[in-house]
Amino acid sequence: MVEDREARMQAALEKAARGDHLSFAEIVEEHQRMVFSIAWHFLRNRALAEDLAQEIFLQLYQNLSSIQSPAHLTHWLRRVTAHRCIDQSRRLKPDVALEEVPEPATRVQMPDPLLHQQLRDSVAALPEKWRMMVILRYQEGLDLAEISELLEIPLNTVKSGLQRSLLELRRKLTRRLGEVRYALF
Amino acid sequence: MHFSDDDLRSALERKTPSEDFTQRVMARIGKPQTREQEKRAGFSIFRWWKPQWAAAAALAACLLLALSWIQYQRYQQRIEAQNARKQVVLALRITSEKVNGALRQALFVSKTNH
Repeated sequence: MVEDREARMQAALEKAARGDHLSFAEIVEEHQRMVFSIAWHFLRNRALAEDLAQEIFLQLYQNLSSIQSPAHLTHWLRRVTAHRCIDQSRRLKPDVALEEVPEPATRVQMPDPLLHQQLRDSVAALPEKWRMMVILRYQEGLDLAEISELLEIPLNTVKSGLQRSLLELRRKLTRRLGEVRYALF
Repeated sequence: MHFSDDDLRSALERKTPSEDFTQRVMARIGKPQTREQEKRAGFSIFRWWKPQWAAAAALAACLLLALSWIQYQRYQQRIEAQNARKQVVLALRITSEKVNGALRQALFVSKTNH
């Protein structure tokens, strides 16, 4: 199955590099969720995330000849998306401190959706590099060395950044969910 | 508050962009996305056009050009030959008149001497 996908993507890459736009559309279809999701979790703005994802695919279209394999393509897309997200975030606004994030409307039907919503909001409030580390680690399932290579930062910085991000998320969630429970009961 | 790695994975699971995402990317590139759209986009008098036909057309044009050139060369040679013939006839006529004049002159001189 994975080999099929690899072979299909390899063929699509070769055709797209020769100018076959339908093969390029296939590449976009295959990778749009990955690129869009990184951008969405990072920016927390659907319109901005879609726009950025589209620009990344346009950039890919212009650089197709430099892409050698499906694995290289995925790596390229993750790297460009990560850097473009950080650039975009810097252009848009200064970092929002964790305490300044507005509390979401409490739609407490089940505990998990609430927890997930709180987690997403708290991740969105992390500093840029930490935020991207968490997204690449937990959305994309990358290991620390891959994150280090992708973001071009030392491995130890990634390790400490992830540890501190998780501590920060726990601290914030404890306070937030405690407040929600207090309000409900 | 405790949360597991799985909670974080679920919270950060992949999202789906809007349905027309690929179409909009392809529109920004300027290309249709599907075979259907390609068919619609290619609905013109050149729809039937294929590269091998272009090669055949180019070859035919070259042949036509070569034949035209040969025909033109032949026409030019014929014109030059006609002009040369006319010039020869003219030269002969002039020579003949000169000779006639000289003969008349000679006859006149001989008559007046006798």
